[in-house]
Amino acid sequence: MIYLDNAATSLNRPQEVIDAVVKAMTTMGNSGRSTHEDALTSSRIIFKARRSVAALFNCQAPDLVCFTHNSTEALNIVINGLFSSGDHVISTDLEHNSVLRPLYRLRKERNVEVEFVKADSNGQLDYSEFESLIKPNTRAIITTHASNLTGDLVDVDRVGKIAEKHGLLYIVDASQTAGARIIDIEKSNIDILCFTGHKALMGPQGTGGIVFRKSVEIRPWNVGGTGIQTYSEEQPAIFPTLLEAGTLNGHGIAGLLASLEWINNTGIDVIHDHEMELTERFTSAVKQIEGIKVYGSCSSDKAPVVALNIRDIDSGVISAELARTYGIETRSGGHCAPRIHRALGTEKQGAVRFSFGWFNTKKDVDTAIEVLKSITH
Amino acid sequence: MLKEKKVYTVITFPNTTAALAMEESCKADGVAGELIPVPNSITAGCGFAWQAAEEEKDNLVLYITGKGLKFSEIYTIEL
Repeated sequence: MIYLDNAATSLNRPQEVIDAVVKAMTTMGNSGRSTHEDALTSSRIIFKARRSVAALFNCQAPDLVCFTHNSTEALNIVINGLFSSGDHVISTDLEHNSVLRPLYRLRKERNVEVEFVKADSNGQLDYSEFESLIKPNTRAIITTHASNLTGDLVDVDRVGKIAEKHGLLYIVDASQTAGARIIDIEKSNIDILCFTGHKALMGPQGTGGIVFRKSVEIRPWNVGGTGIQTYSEEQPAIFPTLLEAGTLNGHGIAGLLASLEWINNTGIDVIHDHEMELTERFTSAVKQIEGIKVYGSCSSDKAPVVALNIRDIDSGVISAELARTYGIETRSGGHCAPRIHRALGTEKQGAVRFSFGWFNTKKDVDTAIEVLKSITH
Repeated sequence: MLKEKKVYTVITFPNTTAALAMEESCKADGVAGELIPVPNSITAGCGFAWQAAEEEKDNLVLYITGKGLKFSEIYTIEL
């Protein structure tokens, strides 16, 4: 089996991550609730994980890192917590439904205005559109860091400068890039970064978070047990507790800490270079195959994701054939990214997405190329 | 058997992160004290507090300020 669905989740993980989760399941009490040794073990691991996440994204204070169960939850907390009636938010056609659906719901239920910077028929944004959409009631710009379909990057430095110039919050969905490339929220003027732990970060599913550049006023999505201020009727207005009601996924966070340490030891630039080498090797070869259309810029600097179609064949047919006959695992269909599929004209056909990770090899890529050549001709 | 009541220096924190940063720093530098549940007689942001002997108060104040560690209040209380 060749696993090329890393944009959905990392199937293969460092052994250290697995060991950390197994150990956590017999050693971690409930963090932040008591000072007996097992509870403190949990608190200490989560504290270290918070600090590692902060360091990864150049966040100045670990308490501005709030853990969630995934990017979708992080984005829902942020989007629902920040905007109210009359606010205007700018986003893009590249977004995943984890951004789109919370925005659509706010548009319907809270009368929040939402506008999108459009993608062209090759999935590219016109950056001048961001400024032309800004209005007096614009509160924020929300973009993905990389399309989960084409892998094309959003120039976060450029958008961050626009947001800063106009006094807007800049919120970034780093689902496809956290762990795959260096992200510096200070340098890029990213006010809020939402990430998941189980993709390029190679941590367990059920981990993710929100990283704030500085404290903002935000209404929590969940309220409840926090281990502190028991007699207050309101959720404590202290980061990270404000956004962390209930027991955290301590076992998962222990695994995430192990993956962060593994990535730190390996070098994020080393991981990035390896994944880019595989992506370029694959892209340059499949582009030459007659009958295959590759979507997006095919840039040498992107998320390690490639979307393609073979003639007019349904992407699900191709993906199923690759899996059943050749043991190559990909993802087909709409990828929860409706606007970019519409822009590319692939709404009906979908696309076959190949996504590479640290544990893939050149041999995996070459096998996939040969199989694509074989089934296309 | 429970100990007799005694006066301690107790430091509270705005959040758990600050309390754990205190613990990590003190352990590394051999500074006296340990984390305890915040005493019910104290209202503070965080559920953890740092407890040390009463006579450690001045040393702890110097240490915390020197290191730039976050805290809420420093108490001298009987526990």
